[in-house]
Order: sequence, then structure tokens, then C-alpha cells
Amino acid sequence: MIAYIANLGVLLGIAVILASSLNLMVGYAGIFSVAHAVFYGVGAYAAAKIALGVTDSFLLATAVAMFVSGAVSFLLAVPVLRVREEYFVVASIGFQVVASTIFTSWHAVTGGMGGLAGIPPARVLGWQLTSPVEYLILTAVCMVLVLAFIAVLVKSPFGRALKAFRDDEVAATALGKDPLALRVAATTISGALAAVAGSIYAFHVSFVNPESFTLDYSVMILAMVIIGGAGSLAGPIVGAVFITAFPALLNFIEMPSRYVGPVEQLIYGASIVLLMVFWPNGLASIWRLLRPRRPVQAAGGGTER
Amino acid sequence: MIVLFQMFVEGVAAGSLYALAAVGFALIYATTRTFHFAHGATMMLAAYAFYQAVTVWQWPAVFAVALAVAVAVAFGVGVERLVYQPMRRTDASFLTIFAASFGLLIVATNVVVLLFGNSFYSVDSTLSRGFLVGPLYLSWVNLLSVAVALVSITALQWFMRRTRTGVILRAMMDDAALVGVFGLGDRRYGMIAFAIGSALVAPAAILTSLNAGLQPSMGALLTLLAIAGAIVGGIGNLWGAALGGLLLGIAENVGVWQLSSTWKPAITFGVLLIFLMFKPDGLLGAATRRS
Amino acid sequence: MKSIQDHRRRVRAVVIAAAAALTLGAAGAVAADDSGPVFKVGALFPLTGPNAVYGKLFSEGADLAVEHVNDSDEIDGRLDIVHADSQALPQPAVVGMNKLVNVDKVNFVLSAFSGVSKAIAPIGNREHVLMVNGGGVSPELAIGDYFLNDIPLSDDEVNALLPYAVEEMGIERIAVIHVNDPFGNGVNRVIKERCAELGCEVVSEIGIDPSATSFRSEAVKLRAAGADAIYIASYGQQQNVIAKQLRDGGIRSQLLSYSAFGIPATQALGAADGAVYTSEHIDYDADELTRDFLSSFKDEYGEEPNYYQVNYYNAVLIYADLIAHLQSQDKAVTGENLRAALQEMGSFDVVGGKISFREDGTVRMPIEINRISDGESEVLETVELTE
Repeated sequence: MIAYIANLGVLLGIAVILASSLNLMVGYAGIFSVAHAVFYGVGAYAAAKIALGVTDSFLLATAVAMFVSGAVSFLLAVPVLRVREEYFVVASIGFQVVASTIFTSWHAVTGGMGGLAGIPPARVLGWQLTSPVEYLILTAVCMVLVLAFIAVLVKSPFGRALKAFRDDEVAATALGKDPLALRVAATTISGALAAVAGSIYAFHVSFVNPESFTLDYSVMILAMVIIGGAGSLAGPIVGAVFITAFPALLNFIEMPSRYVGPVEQLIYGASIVLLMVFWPNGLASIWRLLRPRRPVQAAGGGTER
Repeated sequence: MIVLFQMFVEGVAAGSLYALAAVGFALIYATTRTFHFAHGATMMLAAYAFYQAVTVWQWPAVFAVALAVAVAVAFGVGVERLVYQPMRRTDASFLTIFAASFGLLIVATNVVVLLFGNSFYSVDSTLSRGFLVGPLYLSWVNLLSVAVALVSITALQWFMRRTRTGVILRAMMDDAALVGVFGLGDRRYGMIAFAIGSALVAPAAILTSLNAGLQPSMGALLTLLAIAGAIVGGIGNLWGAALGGLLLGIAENVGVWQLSSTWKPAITFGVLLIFLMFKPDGLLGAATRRS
Repeated sequence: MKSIQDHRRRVRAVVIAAAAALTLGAAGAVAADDSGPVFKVGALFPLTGPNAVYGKLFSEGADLAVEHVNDSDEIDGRLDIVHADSQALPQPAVVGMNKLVNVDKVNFVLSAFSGVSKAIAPIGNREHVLMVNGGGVSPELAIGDYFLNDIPLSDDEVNALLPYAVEEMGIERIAVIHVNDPFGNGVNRVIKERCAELGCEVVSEIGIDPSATSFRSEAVKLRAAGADAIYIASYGQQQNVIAKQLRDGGIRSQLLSYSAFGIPATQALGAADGAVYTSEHIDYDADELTRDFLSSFKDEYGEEPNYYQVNYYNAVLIYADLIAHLQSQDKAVTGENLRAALQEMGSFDVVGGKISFREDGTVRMPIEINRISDGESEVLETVELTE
């Protein structure tokens, strides 16, 4: 029972890290990416490779995963960020599909659909993790570190410059900032942070294969950011909790098991549509309405000046 | 060599259907600035309507085709009227419209799963059987794909140039605000764009169901191909989108001549990425770089 | 759409289990008092997705066996089946397996599909959970001390089919179209090895994505290869799409395949008419147990059983035999003891006669070679494999 709630907690922590790191791009840099699962996946594969071949040290595997994922992210960002934002969405879709194919077909490295199995339990500073509760603690610590890092980052001069470009590119350029360099940096950091989630996942499930890192999962991470509210720290957390815990609501409805999956999806899709039509600023904006001291931000486009 | 040529023929047939989808997506996107991710859902719904009419209800083919077109148009116009227009009035960002559109695709896909299940269906027809013409295998489905695409896209071009509505739609493609200025009401013309764009995927739906059969995931796949085709062709240019779709179909089928089939999805989207990086204007499109 | 479903279902399963455990935590102990202890059979089948059609077949066999065991007094206590949805995919299966092991505390799991089995086997081996696969047939399923297969693996099927195809059907040139996953790649490898020995030639090998539905250019390649026969190593809906598109593409070559062709949708498919495929041979007149099974199966489901249903029926019978064996020795029913009992007992009376396992956890059974004609299968030959 406790093991079970701990498992749910780990999945939730992973979702929060992914949504928050993506928010760095979507909410603060104004870059709409549907390829975040790729960086999650690259991180997971890199960590799995290290764990299987080199060491079961979580910190070392995660450091390597962050480096590899950040590098892939950087290589994608440099050429593609030059195109207009709508096109970046499409480029990221393309990148996601190509990456999925590589995950599936590059047998020598990824093991293809068979994946990488039998990843050993993680070791952190000499402490061997075995129970789900220990993984939950590890995930929570990582999550807090990632969130704290993002919180500091967006308040730094770098973060302020990012927001300046998001809101008014012309004015920001006039101040002598280079928008491309800033966006590339944001994308690289975002990719590296997603790898933290990937590393946790690889050690926790002890199995990695391409199904966890698909286009659909990328879209789901983006949905967490949008539903929660882009451009704030709380938004992605609210979105991740909502999407991860959402299925619980359906358990109160009695129906034949073969209808459960599609009905759940149907409600999930419909709630995205309704939220976007009636509440485009995201669920977290409810919280901000209750605290009128703080300025209300719009999703993506942001009105904070 | 004959193998390569045969693959090219298959690519042209597949590409013709992608072209129809890409032109529909491009028309909708260029006139209403709506990133209609649910475009593939239109195609899937039309395909299942056709299957239901022809196989279950045993309707004559003509009526089944008409039903497929009607379902496509009704879905396209319906979502424009009920979802996109209210969002546009509140100045929704590109991102929120994209998310809503993806939500629509999920809803439509799962309605189909509930009604028809996840199983694979095929429409029995002799039209998909191949026959030899010289050294080449052709099938009526393949020939029809090319013919329908040619006729539809040419007719659309004529419509866009020769009719008043078409001229207004073209004006919207250049500058959406312009139409409002002339007091024509972009709501009505938005719905017209959706009606035409959605009708264009009906032939793709029908011919795909004859050739490859139906399953609920067919919609999402076609959306991706339509978007990729429209971008490779150059957004804002309908001929370009048609060309883009055709090119992707050919690349996908000829690409596996030497490569393993498992790399197929990477071929299509690799072509897309190369275009975005090195020729972001597409084959025939307007400038898309950040200013 | 798939991974969203995976993820949501996974989360959903977590929540349901948590809620159930909270409300029923006390009830479990109460239920056991009048009928003795409850032994849980974990069933890791695809309940949703394109392969749910297999999950239904597997469950029918397992459910009937649980019913029969509970009606008899073979064991002290009763069996209870706990389902987890694998979707026939490794990743949701690992999540389901973790749930069965950690939450339901099962020590016996029914597995299916090769990718699923390979992914969950490390968990079962580590946690000492006996696993029986009756559906997946990848040649690479000899995977650990706690993993058994009561279905012959496809290297056995290929070994039975290829000599027949070469000698009786006169096939010299074979093309293989196979899914790019552990099962498909394994079959492809075995066909190549076996063909080299038999003197037939593999003229084309085409790997395809598990989700692919269009095979235009693959049909062109296969036609150009000029094969006498095409071996299809896929499963579920995809094998039907492949068969249809190959026939549409003007390919008249003999189609060959393995036990997956036994599903009703393929038997009824016009394009699969004339296809020759292998399956395990079950002697439905072997003994009283088998005849009883046959009649009660027909009563229950109104149709003849197929080998998948038999395999999972048998897997549950083996579990009951092992429990009875341990109970007769006053030993606790743990994973370790089940494994020890398995080695002590050696062979089991199941539907179709006695079966026993090889040292590596695979089973040896006679293989049938069948041909589909007019929507039904006829047996061409039954092959006894020699080691």
C-alpha cells in the first residue's frame, strides 16, 4: 500500500520536473516545444547505459545524463530556433518523430523495442536505494532542487532578459541583448533538467524502452504546462498534479472495463478543449485571482511589463 | 531499376493523398491562422463514416462517398464555429489554440474507439487489387488517388482565382485583418475555409480505407503528414502544399529502397527538418524567418 | 495516443489499487476464513489497445481453470485471479508487474507477449515470483530460473515448419517480413540460421515498425525479391494488414507464419486464405481431464478452445498442482518453494496430456502445420521435434 502511494509520488515528481523544465522554454522564453519527451528519453537512456555499464551511482549517472541531454538540446536549438515560433512547434514535432525512430531502430545503443532491462537499483552517496519510499525521497529531493534552481534562474538577470524578449523582442534587442543566444541557453538548460527526470525514471522502473518517450507523451507534458498556466512557477506543478491525478476522478463512475480507457481519454481531451476555450490562462491563475497583489499573467504571451 | 520506379509510383499515389490533406491544412492555416491539429480527425471520421455506410449499411458507393464528405465538412465547420471562433474572439495565443486542437483530436479518436473499437477494419473492394501494365503494377485506388488529387486541387485553384469568395479567401491569406476592414465578417469566411479544407480530406479518407484499412490512429498520423507537407511546400501557397505532400509521399516510399523500413517515419520528418533548417520558406512559400 | 493512454492507465491503476487497499484492507483477511487461504494468480494481459483481442482469449482460459480448481478440492483454499493491463507493451507491463508483486503480493504471474516477458522477467527473477508465459514465442524467452514457457517458442515452430516447407512444399527462396521487436528479430534470426542448414535461401528481410499500417513499398520490395514464400512474423491487426496489402500488391507467393495466425480475425481474412502456419499440437482426446476441459469449455464459451486458451488453462492447473504439492508437505506457498516444487514434480497432467519443462524453462511439444482454407484451419502434418 505504502509502496503504491510512493510509486504514484515518484511518477508525480517526474511529471513536475518535466513540466517545470519545459515551462522554462514555453513560459519564459516563448518557445513552444513538443519534443520534451526526447530529452527525458535521452536522459533515461544515458543514465541506464551508465548504470548498466559503468556504475550504479545515481549522481554520476544523472550528471552524465544531464550533459548528454543538454548537448542534444543545444544541437537542436542552434539551427532551429532561427525560424518563427509556429515553425519551431513543427520542427520539434519532426525532431520528436525522428528521435522516436532512433530510439526504436538504433539497436546497438537503445536495444530497440526490447529496451534496456535489468537496470540495477540506484546508489546515492553509498546508500543503496531499494524500496519505493526511498525512491520517493530521492525524487522529492531532486524535484525541490530543480524547482529551486528554476526559481532562482528566472529571477536572475538571465531570466529577466528572457522575459523581456518574450514580451517585446524589438525593445529588448534595442537594449543590446542577443535573443538567439538567450533562447539557445534556455533550451539547453531545459533539456538538461528533463534528463534528471529521465535518470530517476530509469533507476526507478529499472527498464527503459522507446514507448515512454513518444510524441504523445511530449504533448502531455506540454498540456501540463498549458493547463496549469505557462510562465509561472506554480502553473506546471498544478498542471502536472491535475493530469497525473485526474484519472482518480473517473473511478467513481461504474462502466464496463473496455470503455474505461477511451472514456478516460475522451474526458481528458474534452477538458483540455474546455479549459483552453474558457480558462486559457491555466488553472494556477485561479490561485492568483485570490491573491490580487500579484499581477495576472497571460499564458505564453504574458502581459507582465 | 524497375523496383525503384515502382516505388516511385507508389510514392506518387500515397503522396497525392498527403497532398490533399496538406492543401486543406494550408488553406485553413493561412486564412484563419488556426493550427488545426485535429485536421487528421476529420479524415478519420470521414473514413469511419464511409466504412459504416458501405460495409454495415450496404449503401451504394455514391451515397457513402457523399456521407463521408458531409461528415468531414460538418466536423470541420462545427469545430471552427464552436471552438476556434470563440477562442479567436478572446485573442487566444497560438499555444492555446494548438492545445485545444490537440484536445479535439483526442476526443474524436476516442469517440471512434468507443463506437467501433480499436480493431482494424478493411473495406472489401476490388479497386485495391493490383494489375500489370507492362512491367508496372497499378491499382485503381492508386490511379484514383492521383486523379482525384489533381482534379480537386485544380478545381480549388480555379475557385480561389475566379470566384468572389475565393478572392476574399486569398485576401485573408495575405492579411486576415484586411477582411475585417472591408466589413465582410471573417466568421463566415473562416467557416468556408474550414468547409473546403475539410472536404479535401474526404477522398484521402475513402481511398485510404480501401487501400490500407481503418484504425483509430490513422487521424493523428495524417495530421502530422499534412502539417509537414504544408511546411515543406511553404505556408501560404496552396500549390506548394500540394507539392510538399507529394514530395513526402515519394520520399517515404522511395526512401526505403536502400534503407530499412523501420526508418520510414524518420525519412518523412527528416525531410521536414532539413527544410525547416535550410529552406524554411518551403518550396514555394513566403518568408518565415524571425525578423 | 498510445503513451498517454499508457501513462494514464498506469496512474489510474495506482489510484484504484490505493483506494481498494484502503477500503478492503481488512476485508481480505475476513474472506479467507471459511474457504481457507486465497492464492492470487497475477494475470498480466493486454486488456486494452490493439492486442486486447489476445487478452480476452488468454483470460478465458485462465478464468475457466480458476473456476475448475475452486470447484474441486485439490488445494486447501482457493484461487483468485488479479488482472493488470500490459497492453502487450513492455513499459506498461513493468508497471503492472510492479503492482502485482508489490501491492497484490502475488507469487505467480501469467505473462504473455515476448517484449512484455523480457521486460518483466528481471523483476520476477529478483523478487522470486514464478512466471508462466503461454503466448509469447520469441526464441529469446529462456530468461531465468523463475520464468517458464508452456507454449513452444518460435524456434521450435520454425524448426518444424522449414523442413516441411522445403521438402514437402518445394520452397527454396524465402522472404521474411518481421516486426522490429524482440520477437520479430528473434524469428528472423532463427529462420536465417535454419535456412542455411536446410539449403533454402532468405532472399529478403524486411523489418517493420510495430505500429506501421502501410506496406506499399515493402510489397514492391517483396515482389521484386521473387520469393517462393513469405514468412510474416507480426501479430494482431498488423499481420492482417500485411497479408491484405501483399495480396493487393500482386504477390501470389505462399504465405507462412506461426501460431499468431490462429486468431479468428486472420482465419476469416480472405487474403490469408491458403496460408500455412504452425501451432502447438494439442491432443484433445488425450485423457479424461482433456475431454472434460473440452466439454466444459464449449458449455462456457459456446466454441472450440484454441491453444492460447489451453496454455493459460494449463498454466493455472500447474500452479494448483504446485500448491497442492507444497500443502501435502506442509510447506508455505512462496516463490522459492514453488520453484523447488516444480523441480521435484518434473511433469504435470494438463490438457493435451503430460507436459514437462526443459532445464531452461521452455517446453517441448509436438508442432502442427496448418493451412487456412475457406476460413478454417486444416492440419497438414504433426511434427515431433527431436532434441
